[in-house]
Amino acid sequence: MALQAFQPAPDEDTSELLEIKNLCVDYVSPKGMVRAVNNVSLKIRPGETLGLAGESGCGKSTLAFSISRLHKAPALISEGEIRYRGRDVLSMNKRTLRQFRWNEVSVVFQSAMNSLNPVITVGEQIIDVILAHRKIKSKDAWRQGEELLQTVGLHASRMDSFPHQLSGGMRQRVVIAIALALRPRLIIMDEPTTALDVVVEREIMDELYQLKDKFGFSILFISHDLSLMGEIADRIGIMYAGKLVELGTADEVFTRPQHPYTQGLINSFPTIHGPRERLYGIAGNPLNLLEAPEGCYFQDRCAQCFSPCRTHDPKMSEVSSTHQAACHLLAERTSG
Amino acid sequence: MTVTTEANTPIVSARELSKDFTLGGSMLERTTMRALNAVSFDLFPGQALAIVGESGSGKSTGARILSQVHEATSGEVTFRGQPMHELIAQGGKRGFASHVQMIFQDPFGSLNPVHRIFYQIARPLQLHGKIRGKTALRERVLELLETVGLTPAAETADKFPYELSGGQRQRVAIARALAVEPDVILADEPISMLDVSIRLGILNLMLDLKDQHGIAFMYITHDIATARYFAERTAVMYVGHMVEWGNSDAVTQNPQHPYTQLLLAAVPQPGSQNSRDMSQYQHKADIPMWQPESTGCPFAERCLHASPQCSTQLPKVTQVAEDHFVRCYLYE
Ligand SMILES: Nc1ncnc2c1ncn2[C@@H]1O[C@H](COP(=O)(O)OP(=O)(O)OP(=O)(O)O)[C@@H](O)[C@H]1O
Ligand SMILES: Nc1ncnc2c1ncn2[C@@H]1O[C@H](COP(=O)(O)OP(=O)(O)OP(=O)(O)O)[C@@H](O)[C@H]1O
Ligand code: SF4
Ligand code: SF4
Ligand SMILES: [Mg+2]
Ligand SMILES: [Mg+2]
Repeated sequence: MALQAFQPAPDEDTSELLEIKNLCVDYVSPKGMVRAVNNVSLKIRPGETLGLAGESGCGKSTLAFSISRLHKAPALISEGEIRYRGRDVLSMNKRTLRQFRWNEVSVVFQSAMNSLNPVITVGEQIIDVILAHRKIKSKDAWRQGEELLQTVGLHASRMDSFPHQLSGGMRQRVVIAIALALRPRLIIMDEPTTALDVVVEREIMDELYQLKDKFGFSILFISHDLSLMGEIADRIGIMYAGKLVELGTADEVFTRPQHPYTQGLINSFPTIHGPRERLYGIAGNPLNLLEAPEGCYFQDRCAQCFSPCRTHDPKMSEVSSTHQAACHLLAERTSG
Repeated sequence: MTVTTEANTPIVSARELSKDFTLGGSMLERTTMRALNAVSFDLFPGQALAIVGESGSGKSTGARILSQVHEATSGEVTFRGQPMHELIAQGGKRGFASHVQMIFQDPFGSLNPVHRIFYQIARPLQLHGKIRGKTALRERVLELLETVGLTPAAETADKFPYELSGGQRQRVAIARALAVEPDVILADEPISMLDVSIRLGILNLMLDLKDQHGIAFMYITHDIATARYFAERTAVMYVGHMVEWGNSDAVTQNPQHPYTQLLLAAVPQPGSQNSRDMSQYQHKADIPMWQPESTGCPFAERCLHASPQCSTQLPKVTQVAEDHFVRCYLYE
């Protein structure tokens, strides 16, 4: 059975569920090559929520796609390694990969709630996924589908509904139900609640965390909403122009941000209860990857830019055992 | 006409505005929904009123009445004390539009892709007869681009919209709105489609325009934290009704209406607990569709404090503090 491919060998280190090493993903276009994910390394542990934040176009979705190898041309994984429970994802054959997706890792895509098939009932869309991966009778799959809907807070009778008969929040619950269908260990969620009201967003996040407590899966949570991220993530990674520029516990990233971009980003979000004072955020405009400079990609927007920034690419360095950032100021601080 | 515009006299007053839409195709299936019901508000020079609330609650509909996209089904809007329909009868739609300008959510759709930035801003200046002569026109366009932070202005003026980022395009849209020297700007989710790193820059620009040019703003948003950041006053909408309004700090720090309390409890806050029991704020129930014949409080089905009268008659407006109002029987 292909499933056995995922039983870790006894001597394998399973402390990481997923490990990404030096991953590079490129888009090849007539205008030139764009490195949308640039030398990214990170780990996801069992049961944790890793948040990934950064502005539009920084490569969050591209990273999400490539982890499950769902990226399509013109995207190309050109360098690096992805290991899932010790197994090399990039060398998996088609059959193994099929088992890997859904069973082990499922993805809730950006605006997935708008991509449900409009002419097929919710129930059929759920059982299609179950039947494709499990040898069970469709009657039993239907019953599982009803249970899934109930776990995400929908009435079982919604199995017979078409997507257009549901509100945005209900559709998003259906998408989460489908992602949970095969009890994966990792769920990648790309902006799962961005189009929703805060009240509906809150209800869905609460349900998700109850399910997480029950089933123990890990979540890679992608969003540009740092406020939400600061609340739900155990650790947070900040991306800028394809690079991971800071990684730490949610508390470290929020209370002791090291990278000027992270600092600016946190200062860009007014708070609901904090002092009412003018904030300054980040000057300038996002980087066009086709015009990536030598050295630090953030240099044109950075108020603290100094000479090495123009010539040398800053590498990730440790702030604490759980906290890293890629900025030349860190070396300055430790040496000075 | 000489009308004084003191900061404490509203420039726009809306009273008891209602707007009905007819839904459905055939005569038999046709229903009327009330997108706005008995909504009143004032806009003051140099101040902002933020409108927050769930999706579909009627926030944009209110702005669309002021910008002449829709006509109110009932109620009245006055501009400097004069009824809006009279002003339009006298000065035409364009005349009224020179007082009230709109900025939209989508900075991509709101600019004409075939024209340079210069043209996009020069055009309203010419249409509204704000300027004569080529040199004066060019000077004014560059001045406007500088006001919105698009420097070097001469360089920006020669670009096409596709050559600008989302935030820069939104600045062009703001410059264009400013061109006609409006007294009021209606900004309908002006930052929600922009990159997180440039949203604050646009908000700060609008803050400066409000403070330095004395423009009255209506700021429609889903983001209550930015409402409090930008606007002196905040109004909360639910299903076509303005359920609570007043000083932004009062509304956000001391919410009185059960729906506002639910809304604020849902706002994400870094560092707080990631699971909150929302059942302490609401019963789970569908959001109703309001119809002209609907009665009572729109929140009654979800409200934990509902009493029988809540579903029979719309609660009146109660003043709970100096600048803090609520429509709820708990305070009558
Ligand atoms: N099909 C494509 N062809 C060429 N370039 C692409 C393609 N898809 C994405 N890119 C580029 O790759 C970069 C990363 O895109 P990606 O969608 O991963 O960003 P993102 O962080 O998910 O942004 P958003 O927050 O807007 O969803 C962008 O600069 C984008 O222009
Ligand atoms: N032209 C129209 N015809 C029919 N119904 C309409 C029309 N415009 C708006 N509506 C309805 O009126 C209600 C209020 O819409 P409105 O756009 O004002 O909501 P909103 O508060 O701005 O929502 P959002 O936050 O999603 O922008 C909605 O139920 C909407 O479907
Ligand atoms: S490396 Fe230099 S330019 Fe880059 S963020 Fe650090 S200080 Fe700024
Ligand atoms: S009027 Fe009644 S139903 Fe409406 S919010 Fe107040 S208590 Fe609740
Ligand atoms: Mg994306
Ligand atoms: Mg709207």
